[in-house]
Amino acid sequence: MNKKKKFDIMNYFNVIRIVIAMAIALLIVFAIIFFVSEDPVFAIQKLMLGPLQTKRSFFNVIERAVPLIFTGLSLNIVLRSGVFNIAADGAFYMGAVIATAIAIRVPLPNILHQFVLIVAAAIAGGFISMLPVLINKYTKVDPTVLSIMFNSIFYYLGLSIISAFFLEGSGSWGSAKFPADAKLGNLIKGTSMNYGFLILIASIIFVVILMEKTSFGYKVRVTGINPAFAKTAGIKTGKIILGAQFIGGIFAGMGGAIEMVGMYKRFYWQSPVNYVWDGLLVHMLANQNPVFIPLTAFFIAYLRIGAEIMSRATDLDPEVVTFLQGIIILLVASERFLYKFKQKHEQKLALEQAELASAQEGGNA
Amino acid sequence: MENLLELKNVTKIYEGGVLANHNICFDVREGEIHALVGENGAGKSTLMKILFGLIPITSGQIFLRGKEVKFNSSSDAIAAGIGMVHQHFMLVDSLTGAENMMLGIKEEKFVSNRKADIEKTREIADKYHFDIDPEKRVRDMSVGMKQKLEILKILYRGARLIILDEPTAVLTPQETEELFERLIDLKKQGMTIIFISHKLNEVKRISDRITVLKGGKTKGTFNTADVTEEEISNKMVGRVISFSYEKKPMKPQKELLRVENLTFKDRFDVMKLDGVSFSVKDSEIVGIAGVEGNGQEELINIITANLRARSGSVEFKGKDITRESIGAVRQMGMSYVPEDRLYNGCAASMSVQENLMVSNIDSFARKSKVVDFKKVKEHCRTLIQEFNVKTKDENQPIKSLSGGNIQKAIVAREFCAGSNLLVLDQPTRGVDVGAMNFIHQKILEMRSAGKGILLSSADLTELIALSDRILVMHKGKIVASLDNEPKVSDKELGLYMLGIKTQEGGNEDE
Repeated sequence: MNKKKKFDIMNYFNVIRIVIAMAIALLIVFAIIFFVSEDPVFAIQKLMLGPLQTKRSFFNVIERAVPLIFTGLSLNIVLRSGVFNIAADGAFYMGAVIATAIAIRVPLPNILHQFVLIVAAAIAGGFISMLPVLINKYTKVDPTVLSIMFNSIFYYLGLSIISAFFLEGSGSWGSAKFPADAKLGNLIKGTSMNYGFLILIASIIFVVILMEKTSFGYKVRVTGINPAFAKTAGIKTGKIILGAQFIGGIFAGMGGAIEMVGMYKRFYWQSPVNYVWDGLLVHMLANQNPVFIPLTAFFIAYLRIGAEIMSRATDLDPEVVTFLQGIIILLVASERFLYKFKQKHEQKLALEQAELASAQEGGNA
Repeated sequence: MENLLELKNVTKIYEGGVLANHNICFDVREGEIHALVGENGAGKSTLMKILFGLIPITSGQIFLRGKEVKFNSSSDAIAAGIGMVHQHFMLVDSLTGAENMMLGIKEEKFVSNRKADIEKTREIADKYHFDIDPEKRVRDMSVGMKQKLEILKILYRGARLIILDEPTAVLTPQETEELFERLIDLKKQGMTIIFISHKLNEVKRISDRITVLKGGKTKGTFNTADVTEEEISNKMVGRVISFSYEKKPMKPQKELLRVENLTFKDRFDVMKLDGVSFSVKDSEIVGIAGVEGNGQEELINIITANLRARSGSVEFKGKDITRESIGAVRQMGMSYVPEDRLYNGCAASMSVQENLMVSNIDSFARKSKVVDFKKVKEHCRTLIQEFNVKTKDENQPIKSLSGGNIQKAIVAREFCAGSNLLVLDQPTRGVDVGAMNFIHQKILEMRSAGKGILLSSADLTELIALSDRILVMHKGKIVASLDNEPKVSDKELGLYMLGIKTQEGGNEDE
């Protein structure tokens, strides 16, 4: 019995590793705060508990988590096909731009209007996400480099489109106001929680089923883990990879649209969106399992909001948490982190088994 | 004679908890040929990698000339006078023999002197009576010559202890004979040789002492003169396994596969396949023999649609599949067990179940494309049981299984996909004798069930034991098509494999 329990611990090795990485990162950030802050205990208290102190700040966390979840879901599908394509930011931004365009220029009745603009943004996101892989196929340029380039390209493209066609003449930079029938209504009064949240939940369920339960998801995973094997087994890896990019991109584009018409009255994103690195962290912390993405996105959003509350209340910059993020990525991504621990355990187990086997052999002889 | 090398309680555990060597103790005396025998997976190669400093040991001690040594890399081992010839040669194909000899030598000047290098190489070759051509490019050399070049390379680097990892696996019987003469020569000149093999007749013929490994442990060291082949075999395997199988007489009805005039050139523009034609019928096993690199690999890859032929055609069940996709060919009823199980035979980090369902995943999906995992699990459990795959359960990652069990799982997947033609490339390479025997039985069962089987193997014993017909390939051509009833001798196969003998009109029988 005892033995079985021991083995189970190792089954959760990845989870343990991630939790330890987070703990170490937190400790280092605490140490930094102690070093630089005049009132470190107060600062840490604000960082860790701030988001829970008012209803408003708690919902801020959830709002902050929404785009991270969309980006995390997108990356989950894209990265598991084995291509490091991080064009999700470009797709997200363009999704918002296209949603803005349809919201302002295409008059449609309520519900249908939102539906059309979200679908259009989703499809655009899908195509944007496919571009790096398509271009790589014909030019052999690294898809990662391409995807980073495309993030800039689509940011400037989107910005130009808004500037050229949708700008409202008066005062600060921004598009015209969205009509009421293009916006996502409020879900909970007194917060900015909107119906996009329901779409988000549906998306999570869809991605979990797609990646873990369907033949398509299985093919994506096999292709990502061993493309040569997938090919030999008769999987059309080229199509599967492209399909994964498209479906992944859908969620980024959709996320952009929902964020835009759900949270804002008008388009005024003058700087590029930057969710993909947080999304990457969300994906990594979830141990590549989409089920955990809401949880890890919440964790990251919580820290971000906590850091903002802390910086408002104290002398510290909110950028302190980027340390945290950096350290977590470093630890989770490094193969050797806690490797010795695993190795020791494996060695012990192997020797135990060998002794057991030789004892049995002795018994038989 | 004193001990040149001594190992005490050496244990090696690989990542993933695979115990490859467990408390190994053995010693090598100066100036002897010491054979290390054991089944595949007994830990021979691991032990040699340890001696050559390629992998660190988990625990234990190694003594060289009485002094404890710790090798951190192979350069430490080379500096200590240990040289190793790997199963797969470590030569640069596009360079000449002399260039390979001088590669990485410290005394070599920044600008190399081609003439002097060739002269030097020739000198060394003459000194040890090795017949090689230093001006020839390695890719144009025969396997035998490549191996000799490897040995010379090691000698030139000052090795006094030479480790040969299954040197005869890639050689024909005739080449093996020549290698043995050279080795005995080297011994006379004072070299010490560790010779790894699982072919007992060779070991018996050439070695002074034998150490037997089984399941990662030493089963003792013996003077070769004192033991018989049977005794070693018993120590190695623990039980006697015979490789002579009862074959049911079958009557092949229809032609499943027809290959017509296939040609293929590789990227060096070398003709790898040169007008190959043959056919495979149902209920028959067609074996392909040949020294590695004579076109078998390309042939198999073209048939399974992993590679495109330059000209010629492949017909499967009467339909031209020369330009078909792998998926389509599989759908038509062709299964394929690839040569390298970890490269394209499985996804190592995925579970046994996920590896077993790959070839018929679509048949388990409902209309909604959601996979019916209950059905998959049932299917997997049957396969695991029927093919005796030793695993804790179907959710175990496949890489945690032994090589033999991974291979059994792959064979199970391919054999039970409902195909009519099975293309098997080295189906038992690197698996233990038990698994090998098991896979052989399954292959014969498939034959009885009416499947056509194309079997490419470097193991001549396996080919002779299983095949109904053996095709021998040499330089991209089929030089012989031999009826294996009564059984062909491996000597005869060897003559064809070397290209010494060719069958007249040997391209197709009937």
